[in-house]
Amino acid sequence: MTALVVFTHPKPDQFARELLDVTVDGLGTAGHEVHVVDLYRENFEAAMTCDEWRAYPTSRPTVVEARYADLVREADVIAFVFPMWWSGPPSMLKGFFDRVLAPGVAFDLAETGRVSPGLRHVRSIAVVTAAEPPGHFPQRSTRYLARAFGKSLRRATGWRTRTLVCWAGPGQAVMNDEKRAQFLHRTRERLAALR
Amino acid sequence: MTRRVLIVFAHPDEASYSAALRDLVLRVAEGRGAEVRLHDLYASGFSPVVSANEWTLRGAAPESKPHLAPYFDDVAWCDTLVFVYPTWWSGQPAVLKGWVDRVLANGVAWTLEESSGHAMPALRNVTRIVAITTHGRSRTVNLMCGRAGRATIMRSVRRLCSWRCRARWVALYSLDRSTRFERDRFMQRVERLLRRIL
Repeated sequence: MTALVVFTHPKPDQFARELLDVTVDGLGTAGHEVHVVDLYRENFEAAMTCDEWRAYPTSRPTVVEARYADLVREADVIAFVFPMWWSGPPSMLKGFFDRVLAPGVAFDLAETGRVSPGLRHVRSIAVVTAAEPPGHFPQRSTRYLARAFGKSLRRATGWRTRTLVCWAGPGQAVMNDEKRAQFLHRTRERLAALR
Repeated sequence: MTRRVLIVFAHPDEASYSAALRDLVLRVAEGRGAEVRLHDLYASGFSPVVSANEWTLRGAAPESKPHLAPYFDDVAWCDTLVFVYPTWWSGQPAVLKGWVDRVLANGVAWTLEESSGHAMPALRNVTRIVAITTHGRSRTVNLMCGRAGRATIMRSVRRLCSWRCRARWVALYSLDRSTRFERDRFMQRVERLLRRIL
C-alpha cells in the first residue's frame, strides 16, 4: 500500500516540519510506503497555462506533471499537510489540484461530457492543517474548512472516501508546547490507524 | 458618486466564457461612468506563489514588498471589488488564490492589533464585493463537494472590508452542459445586477 503526502509551506518552521514528520511517521506505522511531495522545494509551477487549459478536456498530464500523476494513481491514501490561509489552501497547493488532478488522472471525461471518478483506488484522504486561532483572522473554523477541502475530492474518489481531518485545535499561535505535543501525538495515532 | 471599480480576473484563455464575462463587466462599468481598473492576472503574468521571502515578511509593512506596490495601491483605491473567475476544484484558480494570499497583506488589507493579536480590517474603502463565477458541474454536485472557495471571498475577504460591505455571489452552474441560451441568460443576469449596483 502506498501513501502520498503533499506538503506545502513556503518556509517550514519547526511546527510545520513536525507536522510533516508526524504524518510520514504515522502513515509508515500503518504499513504504507510513503512518498512525500514538497511543492515549494520542488518549485512546482502553480499556474495552469493557456495551452494546458485548451488541451484540458483531452489532456494527459505533461511530462513535468507525469511524475506527480503517477504518484496520485498509485496512492491508497493521500495526505495534505499545509497551513490554512484565507479560508483555503495556499495557492501552491491549489495549483497542484488544478494541474495534476486533470482528466485521465482524477476523473475521466466522456464525449458526452459525463464525468466518471478516476480516484476510486484512494481509500482515505487526510487533511493535516493548522491556522491562526479563531477570531484572530476572519475565517471559519479550521476544522470546517479542512473538511470542506477534503470534500472537494469526494466526487473524484467515487463519494466513498473518508476524510480524516487533523486540525491544530484552537490554532497554533496560542498553543503552548504541551498542547502542541499532544496534538502531534494524536495526529500520529490517528494516521497510524489508517489501514 | 462615481464608483471606483477594481476587477480581478483570472482565466488563462482569452476566448473563454469567463473572458466574455470580464468584458461585460468592463462594458457595463464604463457605461455607468465608473472608474475602472483591471487586474488581469494571467495577462500580467502575476506569480501566484507566496515566496519564502514574502512569508518571512508577512508581518512587515507593505513598503517591504515594493514589487507588489501597484496592486496594493489599487486595492486601497477601489470601493467595489469584482472577481471574475472559473471555479476549479471547488475553489479559485491558483492564480487568484495567490492574489488573495499575496495582495491582501498586512498593512494593506488588515493590521494586527498588538494587544489581542487580532487582525483588524483595513480595507474600509471597499463597500461592495461581487463574485462572478462559473461551475462546470451542477449545483447539487457543488453542494455535495462543499463550497470551499465561497468562504474565501464571502467570509475572509469580506470581513476585511467596510462593516457595511455587501457581497454578492453570482454563479452559473453546469457550464459544461449549458446551452447558448443559458449562457446568454446568465450574461443578462450579470448585466442587470451590475447596472443596479454600479
